[in-house]
Amino acid sequence: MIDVSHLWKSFGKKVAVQDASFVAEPGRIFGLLGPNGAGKTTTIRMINDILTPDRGEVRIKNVIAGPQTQKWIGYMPEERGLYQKMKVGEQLLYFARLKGLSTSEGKKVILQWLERFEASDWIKQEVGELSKGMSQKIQFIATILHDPDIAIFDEPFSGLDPINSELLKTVILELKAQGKTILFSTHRMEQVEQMCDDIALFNEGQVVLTGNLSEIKSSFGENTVLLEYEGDGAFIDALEHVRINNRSNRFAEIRILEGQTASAILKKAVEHVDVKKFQQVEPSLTEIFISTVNSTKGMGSAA
Amino acid sequence: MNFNKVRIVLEREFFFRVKTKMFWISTLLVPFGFALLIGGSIAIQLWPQGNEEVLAIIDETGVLSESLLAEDEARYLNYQDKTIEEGKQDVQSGTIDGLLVLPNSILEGEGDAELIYKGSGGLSLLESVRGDVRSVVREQRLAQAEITDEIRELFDSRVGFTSTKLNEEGITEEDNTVFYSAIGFILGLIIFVALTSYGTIILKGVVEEKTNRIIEIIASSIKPIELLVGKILGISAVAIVQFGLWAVLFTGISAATTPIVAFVMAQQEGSAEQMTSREDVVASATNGEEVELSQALEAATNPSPTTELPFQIPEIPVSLVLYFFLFFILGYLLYSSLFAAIGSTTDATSDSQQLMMPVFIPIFMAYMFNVQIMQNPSTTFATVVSMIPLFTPINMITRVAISEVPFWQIGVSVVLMIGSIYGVLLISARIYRIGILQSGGKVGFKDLAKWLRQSN
Repeated sequence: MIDVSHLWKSFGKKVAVQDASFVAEPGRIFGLLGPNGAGKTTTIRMINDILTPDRGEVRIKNVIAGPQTQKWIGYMPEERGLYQKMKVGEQLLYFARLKGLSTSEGKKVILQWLERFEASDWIKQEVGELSKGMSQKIQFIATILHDPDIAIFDEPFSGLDPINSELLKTVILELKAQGKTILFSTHRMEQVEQMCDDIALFNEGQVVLTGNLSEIKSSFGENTVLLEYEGDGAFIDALEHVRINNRSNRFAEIRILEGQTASAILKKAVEHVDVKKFQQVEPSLTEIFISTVNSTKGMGSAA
Repeated sequence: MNFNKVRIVLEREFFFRVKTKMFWISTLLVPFGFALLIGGSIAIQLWPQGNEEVLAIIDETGVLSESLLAEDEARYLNYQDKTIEEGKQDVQSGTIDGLLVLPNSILEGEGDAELIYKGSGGLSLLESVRGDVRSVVREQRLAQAEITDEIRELFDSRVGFTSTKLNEEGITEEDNTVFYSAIGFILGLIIFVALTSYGTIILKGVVEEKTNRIIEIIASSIKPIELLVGKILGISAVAIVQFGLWAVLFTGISAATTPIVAFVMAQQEGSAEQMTSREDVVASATNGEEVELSQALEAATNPSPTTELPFQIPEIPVSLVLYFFLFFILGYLLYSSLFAAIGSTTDATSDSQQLMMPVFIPIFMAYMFNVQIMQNPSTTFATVVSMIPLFTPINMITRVAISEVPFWQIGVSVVLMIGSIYGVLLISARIYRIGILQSGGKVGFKDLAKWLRQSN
């Protein structure tokens, strides 16, 4: 379990994280969401005890983050790298030992993982000789080889080839099934929708929304219309009291705001285009993010 | 600090570097290169010099050729009954290498002796012929001037000069100041080179971890100070092993080559002795300092059994070797944490040049001070400079090698160094732990000052 409470961190005059709180539970996948520069990586670094909070605290399995909790965490940073001139096996053993494994334990699990990833042949190769995809696999192994209770991935899918993306997804779901606490950050909402159980939305250093993903979604109601059509979609742009989030020349995701109704939109659509599909759904995360950010801004200016 | 983690880092840094081919190549090549350099310069010194050329003499004075023939029978040949033209033809055809014409006027100090040759033999031939001619002409003119034997003796006499060191027990010992000055300077030079090269290794290692983005994974496992200390100690272990191997190899090589050098030198003894006895008259007359050198040379040519070097290498005291390692290690610890701090502020080695300057400057300054200290190791200047921690490693070892440095000065400098290593390590660690996570953007001195105050 990761318990982040009232975390603050600033660098000089820039406040990177303001009063952030959330809880990631074991056996679930927790997503940190938000645009670049929203404070996700800084928060993750505080969870990993790489940075020290100015105020507030991070508890891992109820212990305040420190050298002891570092052993329980497997962390794959966004900026990933390995020693280019070191052999795969030696490098993994080094990371394993830094995480507290003995040499013999380390050697054993490294062999298991390399076999699992069909990478046993690389053990004596230097990392610099491996392809990008191969070194990404080594990176996964380095993250989880000490069998941590908590796995943290910062933007895990950025820069991964499709095969490794799938592999990582499988690994993450496996870890979840084993009851581990998984936390990852991303700025791509669709990944969160697919995988996360809980989320925290970050904007400008603040957690603007946190909780169970499906509860959050249903709390917003079925206020969104998915429209698939053929013909001239110009009428969509003429609609009032809506927000269009996702738009192509045959598809639109339309958020219904006050003063507009789904049936009114349907009428207009039938008038102008050939409607292929019309569906009322819960809002997408992108939509939730935008409306949350807007409403907190409104609150800010009202106060 | 968790010393178990420091040890893990230390082991990686050590074994990773010791396992590379480069380490072994440089470890093996340096002493051989050094031996070749020394052996080569000895060989060049001792090689028979231009004695193969045969020169014919046409002596118009009629009195000089005899003494020249006596001077070097193998070289000179009498052409008394031939003309200059005939002699020239012989030079052309190669029967002789040159023709030396001594005009009558040479005894009046007016005419020039002329050497007609094809140019082989080079400077050393010209010089030795000039020396030969000069000495026989001088002899002849002195004889003609009817100088008394007493005055001639005065001319031939040399000024003896020996220096004796009085040690603490009041026992005089042979003074090897020239030798120890050289040793002192060389030791300072070795530390100079070692500080810059091992410092650069540290810097490159830190930059590598930043540019390859390994640092964040490591920082999620250990504290930056543990990484820093492990790295510095690991590379110092590499340095100790390398220097140890060099010491062993060097001793081995010199033991193996001594008989060879001795043999070659024994062969050369005769001619070498001749040369020095000719030269030292001039040397003592022109320059007082060179007296010592010519004495050393003479000592070098004393006959002795062929299995030993015909001269004695003054002993290098064990304490000097220990001091060398002490000051090297202390200097390395002081500078390496500075280099690590600088490395942590940049993403690429090339960017670190600007920031590296302030660290290189004291090393270079110490090196320049050494030129002065080597000549005057006991001045106030030398004493003060050698006790400033940034200069101590280079300047103190030179002083220790050359002169008797009071123990309190060594003690104070060691204490000062340990103190500043601790201080610098603390400051460097503050910069390091923030620097390693920083990416993009150039870091200036202002930022460094800010980082020192900033919490992690």
